[in-house]
Order: sequence, then C-alpha cells, then structure tokens
Amino acid sequence: MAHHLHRQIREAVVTALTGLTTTGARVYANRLYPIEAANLPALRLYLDDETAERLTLHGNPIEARVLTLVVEACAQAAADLDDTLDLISQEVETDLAAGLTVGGKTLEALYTGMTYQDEPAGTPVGVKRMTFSIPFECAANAPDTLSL
Amino acid sequence: MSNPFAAIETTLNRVATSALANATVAWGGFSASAVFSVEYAETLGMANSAPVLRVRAEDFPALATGETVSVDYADTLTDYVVRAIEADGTGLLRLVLEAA
Repeated sequence: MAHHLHRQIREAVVTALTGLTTTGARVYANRLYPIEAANLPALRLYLDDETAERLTLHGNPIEARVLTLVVEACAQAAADLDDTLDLISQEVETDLAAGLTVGGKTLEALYTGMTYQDEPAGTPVGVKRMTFSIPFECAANAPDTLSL
Repeated sequence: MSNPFAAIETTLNRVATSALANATVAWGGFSASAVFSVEYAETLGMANSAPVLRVRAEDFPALATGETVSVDYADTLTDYVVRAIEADGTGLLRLVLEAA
C-alpha cells in the first residue's frame, strides 16, 4: 500500500524545493523545533488544511480535494532582510509554477498569496509565508492513489 | 519635588555595577563597565539571541537608539547597534542590542 497522498505530495514539494539557489538543501517539512542560525536561510513547509467535495454519487465516490500548502521563507540578517526573503520567494514561486510530480502525474501548485512577519532580536528575523492550492482527485477508499 | 533617594540610588548603582560588571562598553569618547547578557531567544521559529547591556545613565550621556557600541565581553570585542533604551527611573539603563 502506498503512502497517503498527503505524504506523497509533501515529499514531492520537498524534492521540488531542494536545491534552490538561496536555500539549497535547507528545506524542512513540519519543523517543530527552532531552526539554528547555521541552517538559515531556509524553507519550512506545511500542509495546512484541505477541503473535499464529492464528485460522484455512487458508493465509494471520487472526491475533489484542494490541499493548502504553506511554504515559509525564513531568514535572519542584519541587513537586506526583505531583499533576501523576496529573492527566496521568487525562487519558490518560479519552481512551483512548473507543478509537482506525484504518482507519475503532474499536480498544479497554484499560488494564492503571502503574509510577511519580522521581529527584532540579536539578529533580526523575517518570515515570508506563501500559500499554494493543490487540487487533486482520489477515491474515498483510496487516499493513496490519484484518480485520472 | 526632588528625589530624596537620589544619593542612595547613585551609590547603589555604582556599587552594583562595579560588583556585577562582566563587560566593558565603549561609545564615542565614553567607556564604562557594564553588565552584559546574551540570552537565548526564539524568534518566529528560529534560534536567536537577545543581547542586553545594563549601564549607568551617567556613564553614557546622550546615548541614542541607532548608535553603535563596542562591547568587550569574554575577551571578545563585538559591535552592537542600540535598538532600545529602557530607563528604570533609578539611574540605570537597559540597552536592547542588535548585531551591527
């Protein structure tokens, strides 16, 4: 049995975003503990929520789902913090515009907006939070397989 | 009405700063002992620090936010920008610092 599509999608996002110019291999899915300064700038990503709608009437319906992906650009810098975060988001948006490969199929990752937060400290930090919608379909009894 | 405790506060501040000082701070033509701390701080899910200096106000007259101070602590000299000046009303200042 394959992994849940959420896991497959999350892993596809990690694969897609690993190796970008500014953040390199520093891509963290569902990071619970603080990121050390040596591992910045970095990307944090979460599958935040999902909505589902029944597409068919028969038993074991096909569901149209829309998954919300959050990608956070994280940086810590005494200067040009905004510029660094804008550059990271440019790289992320450009990369995800090509879609995600999941189960041999290409899923769209549609950009839906961003929020920005910064905070003073020993070294100022900033987070640019980008959200994407990932629509896909699967059978109710097979959340590990994409429907055609 | 003048502060009847001003003389006591001045004496206590001098004694406390001398006894507890662990750093030397320089700014402009001024230099003085100070209490320096760099506590761990988590900011927006990232590990960080919260450097703070405690100095006597009389040692740094006219110090303003945005100024750069040099802190000699643990045999290391580091420049910091003063981001906030918090007076305690008894003659001591708490300086919130940021890496220069």
